[in-house]
Amino acid sequence: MKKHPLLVALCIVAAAIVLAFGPMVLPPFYVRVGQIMLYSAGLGVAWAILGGFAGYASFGHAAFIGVGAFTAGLVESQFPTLAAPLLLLLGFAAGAASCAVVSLLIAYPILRLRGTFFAIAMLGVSHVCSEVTNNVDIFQGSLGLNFPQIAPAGMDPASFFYEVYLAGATIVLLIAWQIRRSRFGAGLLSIREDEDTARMLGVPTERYKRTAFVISAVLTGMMGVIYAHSLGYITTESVYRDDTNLNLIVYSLLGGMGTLFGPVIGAGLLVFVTQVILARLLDFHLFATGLLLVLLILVAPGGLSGLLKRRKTAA
Amino acid sequence: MAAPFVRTAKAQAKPLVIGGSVPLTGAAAETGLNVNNGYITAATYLNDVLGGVEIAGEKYKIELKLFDDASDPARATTLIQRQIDDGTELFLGSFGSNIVLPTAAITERAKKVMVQTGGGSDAIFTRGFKYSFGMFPRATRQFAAASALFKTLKPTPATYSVIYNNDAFSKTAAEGVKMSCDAQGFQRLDQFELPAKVTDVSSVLASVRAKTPDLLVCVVHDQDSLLIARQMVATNTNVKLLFQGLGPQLASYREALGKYSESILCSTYWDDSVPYKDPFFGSAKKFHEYYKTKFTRPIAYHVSGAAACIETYVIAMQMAKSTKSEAVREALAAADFDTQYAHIKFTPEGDGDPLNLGGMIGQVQKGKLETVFPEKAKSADAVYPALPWDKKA
Repeated sequence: MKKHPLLVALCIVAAAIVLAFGPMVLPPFYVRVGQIMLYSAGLGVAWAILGGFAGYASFGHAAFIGVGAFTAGLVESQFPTLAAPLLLLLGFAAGAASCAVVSLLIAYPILRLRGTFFAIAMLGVSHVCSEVTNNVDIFQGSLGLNFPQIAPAGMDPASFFYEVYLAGATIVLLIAWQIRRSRFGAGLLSIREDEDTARMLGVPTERYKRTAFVISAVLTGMMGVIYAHSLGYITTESVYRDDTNLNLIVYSLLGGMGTLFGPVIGAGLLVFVTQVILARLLDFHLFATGLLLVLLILVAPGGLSGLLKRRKTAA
Repeated sequence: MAAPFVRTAKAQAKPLVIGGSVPLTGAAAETGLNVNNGYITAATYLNDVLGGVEIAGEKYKIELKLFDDASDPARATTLIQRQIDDGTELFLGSFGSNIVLPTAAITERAKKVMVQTGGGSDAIFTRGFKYSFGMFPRATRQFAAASALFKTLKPTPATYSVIYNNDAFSKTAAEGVKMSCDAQGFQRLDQFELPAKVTDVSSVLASVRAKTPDLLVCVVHDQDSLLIARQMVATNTNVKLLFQGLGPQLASYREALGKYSESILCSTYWDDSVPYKDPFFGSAKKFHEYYKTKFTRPIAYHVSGAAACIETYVIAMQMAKSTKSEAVREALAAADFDTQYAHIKFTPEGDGDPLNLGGMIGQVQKGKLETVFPEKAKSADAVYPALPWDKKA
């Protein structure tokens, strides 16, 4: 049965509205877990635009979290008297612009690589960005960058950032959904399936890949801006994290590679397991997380959405 | 014999829960393990050896609830929030300013106290937090002890130059050097940024010779300190005093330089010869001995600092006659006592008092490292000005 596009959009918005009531009913701990889930879901979907739809699995998207966060912080620090909402908007604009520029600059050489080579090259990009931020004085990566408190007076910052994360993740999801159902999205899927054949059939593969790369980078950078604000102070190590690079792939693997909601499900599941269930295991939480991931991938190699599809087909 | 036993059984110790997160995995794990070991050492000693601590007439046993934050600030915030929701009143800090600050923001909002030994960034202590206390001075004040010593030297030095590596540790330290020395009225002649990996400093030393500062301050890593000192000897680059943050503490450095190491100054954060009297362990030496019975990992100053966090808590609670966060906060703000780590005293912003918790200054004298500052810990007077290299040979 074909899903009506308007219905899907309405479902996404309705789910976001329901989730927006979270801080009113959830204990503070779960509000923070919710923040991380929404942040991870937003990042996971942004990653999937390139990695899931086009099949270009990046192992270095943390580069854009860092570039977005540091640019926003540096630009915002030049306008200390600006009102908080304007400051956040300015941060978004600066973070998005910097990620667009960086991704455009590297798109041509790096998108000529495929598969593992592309993944490793992106890891290199992430490390180069990290080193530059750390070692070039104006970026203040080693000393750290302060972010002003932007939560409205009288509102719990945790609840405020929960709502901002929710808005960010919803926007990312709606953009990804719109891409998925467009001609452009179909082109990306054809690239994933067989890039050479797609090009022979007239799909402008280079332009499509480049566009997907830039959109993915910009959305990742914008989530990074929210993350930096929610922490209040970042150093290079806060944002250029290899575990983030890895997790972005794991979200899609868990939820279903190439699907729209796969990264959302994967992020929700992994964050719940690591932050709620295994958080108290001081010595072996990483071992338990790894074991769980291996088991999940063995049982459901196509992710949870693949498992559901298999069950439906069998029935 | 039965009476004390009965009394002990009746007065069963209450649990005193102290929560927190530590990086046992991830980028900060190496130091995180030291911090964790320090917390465990103090808690087990107070519980097992002393049988608990007495606060306001009641016996308590420390119950640590520490979780691995995997060096991830986001994970650390959820761990701390969960403990606040569970009713934990007192917290110990993680390691790394990028983790300590977001977690301190949460404890601050919940009006719960945090004592930490892992975050020195100025950002932690300039946000108006009232419930966070650090065992170090903020980064830009960490050189205050050295610059205070420079000011006492006769004849008073007038000028300085600073050399640092292009990395996080050195750059932060260099900022502190510049702020402290400028504040003391010393004139800065030059600052030299070396690459992270250094093989030759001859061009930098040529510039040093051209202006010849009274003080040359090097906040570089151990091996770079040795390289600079050797090239200074080779090129006969003389200054009245050479300060090298890291290097001269090591016997290998002093052996490598031989007589040329004479009079070189350095920072010494902690070793088991510090003279402070500790109300629980007795002394730093006894603390170290007890640590060795618990862990095979070599001791580091972070272990001592972390243990002092718990000792500081206990002393503050004994002073406040309460275990409640608000009362403990007030007692911590008024802290002025010794532990095996240092003399504990905080600034109104919560960071360590620069002169008491800013580390000590050592100087190589007759091949040995003597403590020359602060007054309370010193084992010898500082030698100034140092002899030129050719007179040391």
